[in-house]
Amino acid sequence: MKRIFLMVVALLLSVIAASAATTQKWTAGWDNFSEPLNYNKSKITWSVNPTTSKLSVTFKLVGATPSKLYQVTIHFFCTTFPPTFGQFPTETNNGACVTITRQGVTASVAAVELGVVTTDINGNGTFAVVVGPVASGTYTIEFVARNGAGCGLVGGGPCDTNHAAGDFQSPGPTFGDTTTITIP
Amino acid sequence: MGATPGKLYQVDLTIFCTTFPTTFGQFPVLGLNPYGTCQTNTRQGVTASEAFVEVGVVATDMHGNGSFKVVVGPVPSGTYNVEFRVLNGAGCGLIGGGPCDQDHSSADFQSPGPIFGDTTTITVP
Repeated sequence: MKRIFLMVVALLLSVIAASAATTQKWTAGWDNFSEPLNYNKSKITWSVNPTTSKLSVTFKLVGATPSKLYQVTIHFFCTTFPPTFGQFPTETNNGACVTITRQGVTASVAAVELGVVTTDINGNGTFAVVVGPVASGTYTIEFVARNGAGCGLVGGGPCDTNHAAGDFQSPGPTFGDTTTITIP
Repeated sequence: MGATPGKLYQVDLTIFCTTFPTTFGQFPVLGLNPYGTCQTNTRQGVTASEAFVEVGVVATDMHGNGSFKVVVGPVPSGTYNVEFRVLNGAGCGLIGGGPCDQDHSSADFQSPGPIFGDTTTITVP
């Protein structure tokens, strides 16, 4: 009986550990490096629910440009990628990841556009999303906040430098600095 | 739920008013004439004076589902007659989106509706 109890406790602890939220800071770029942001107070918090295979992400911007739209994405570093990530379509070249160069680093990526942070008169805003179920695997990613909204989506601005450029990346500070997300 | 997949819908509060302050909580108020008078508009045959507060964007997934949550405040005490609107795109009154034209700023959904001017009363004590 005692052994069973200890096993249950160990199992619960492992689930809690797997579900623990990770918080990481934004850094500038990878395209624009002068966009205002309070880098100490701004953050991304994410966690994986191993039972539902869902990824929860909250994007928080503090001290950015007031009354502005920042489309937030996950960029996957990959060679090929499926057409969907959870309930969102992915941007690839017929399944092949697209090679881009930023900050002198060349890598192949696929992107998924998750939503938009809208800032208030103080330049503060948040956006939270639950993605999933996500296919099991290990994903090597960077989070990005674009300089506007509409790229890859209907109803926003065009997919040009003014809207699609990366204002903030995480982890950074250089394109290709990645976070690993594992979906069991 | 069930909207156009992969689309941005800007959401706002339409506040029916004669005059209104320049801010509502932490958000600027749009559509005010000089001296803070509310703009008169006609929709669905109903004419009313209103101001707008753009609070965020719902981005839909491949199923046309999406959600957005915001906390507004502190809001001055008062009684506010409002309609919630969902616009046909994102960017009107904000930086970094589409232009403030028919394709982006026209109202796709209203609540309560079904007629412009059907309002919800929000009381802030």
